[in-house]
Amino acid sequence: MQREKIFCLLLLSLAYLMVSPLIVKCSTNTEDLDLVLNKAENDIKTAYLAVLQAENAGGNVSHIVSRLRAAAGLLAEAQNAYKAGDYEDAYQYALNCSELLDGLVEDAEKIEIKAKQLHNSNFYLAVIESSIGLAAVILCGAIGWRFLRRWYFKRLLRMKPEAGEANEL
Amino acid sequence: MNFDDFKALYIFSCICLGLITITPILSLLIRFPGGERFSEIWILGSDHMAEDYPFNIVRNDTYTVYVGVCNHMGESMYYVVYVKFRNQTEPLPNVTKETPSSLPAIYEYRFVISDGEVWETKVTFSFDFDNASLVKSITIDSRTITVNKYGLWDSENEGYYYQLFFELWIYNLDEEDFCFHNRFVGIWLNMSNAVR
Repeated sequence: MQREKIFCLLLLSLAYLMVSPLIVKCSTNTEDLDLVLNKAENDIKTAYLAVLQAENAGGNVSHIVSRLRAAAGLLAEAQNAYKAGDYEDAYQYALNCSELLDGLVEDAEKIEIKAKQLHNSNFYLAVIESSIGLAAVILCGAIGWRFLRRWYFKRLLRMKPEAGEANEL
Repeated sequence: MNFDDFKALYIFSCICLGLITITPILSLLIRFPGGERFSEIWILGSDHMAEDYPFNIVRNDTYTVYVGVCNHMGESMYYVVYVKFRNQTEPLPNVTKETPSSLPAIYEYRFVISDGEVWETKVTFSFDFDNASLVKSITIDSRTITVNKYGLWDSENEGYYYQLFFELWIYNLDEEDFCFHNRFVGIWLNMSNAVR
């Protein structure tokens, strides 16, 4: 009895595996296709926005831009197949497009966070550097001014007797 | 040099030195405006030069052109190039009004490119028709699209002329949709001797 059940189950699984491509084929009707195409289109738009934010934060987005470009290419293929009436191809390309974009938004967000952290640490470093530099300039400027003023007046006083001697002569 | 001049010169030198010292922080705070923002689109012939464009079309012969786009918009951009096909009476994009051609796109290319980057593709196409006045279908990059487009006899140039053109559209973040970028390129095709 148990063996028969297992055998039946195996037979059913085998039958399902054989007809599954047909099921997929049948399910590729235009409504499904529109849904998949819209999803792929929205996925690209969301991913593009995330990439832009990461880029504007100063992150290196070159590799995710390449992925986005490939996904956009797949979406174009899907649209072209749709226009040519090849719905199966269109469905598959749209699915591939969405699959390629899986995790891209998260990657872009990680890059954005990293870029912002780097920007913040660079900013604090720049603030510290500039503050120390500015303090040094003010301090050295004040000390330097004292020396220079003294040197200036000494030079002025040294010039006066010479003028007097010249008058006496 | 009197004392006041000497003092002013010293203060000026100190201010310059101070500004140099705070340059790292200024560079992070001040953003200078970039140059002009624009995109380029071009079309090249089969030899990848601005010559030898396909013109005299023969049924089912394959022709090649190269279409390229360069991004100078200051950031990564999402573009679509729509391929459209028209006869002499149908509208072209209006560059003055910045409106695209009202014709439907028969094919498209989508891509995202970074600032300063170039995208270029080889476009292969062929035409199928029974006579020069009716183009039945166009095959672009091995995908056939039915167009069934009638042409008009051009008595001045003595032929049936059509135009294959490429419109550049750009994704607009505010409108959350593609907008015509007011740029297009195209080639004239003479189909008069098309059927051999």
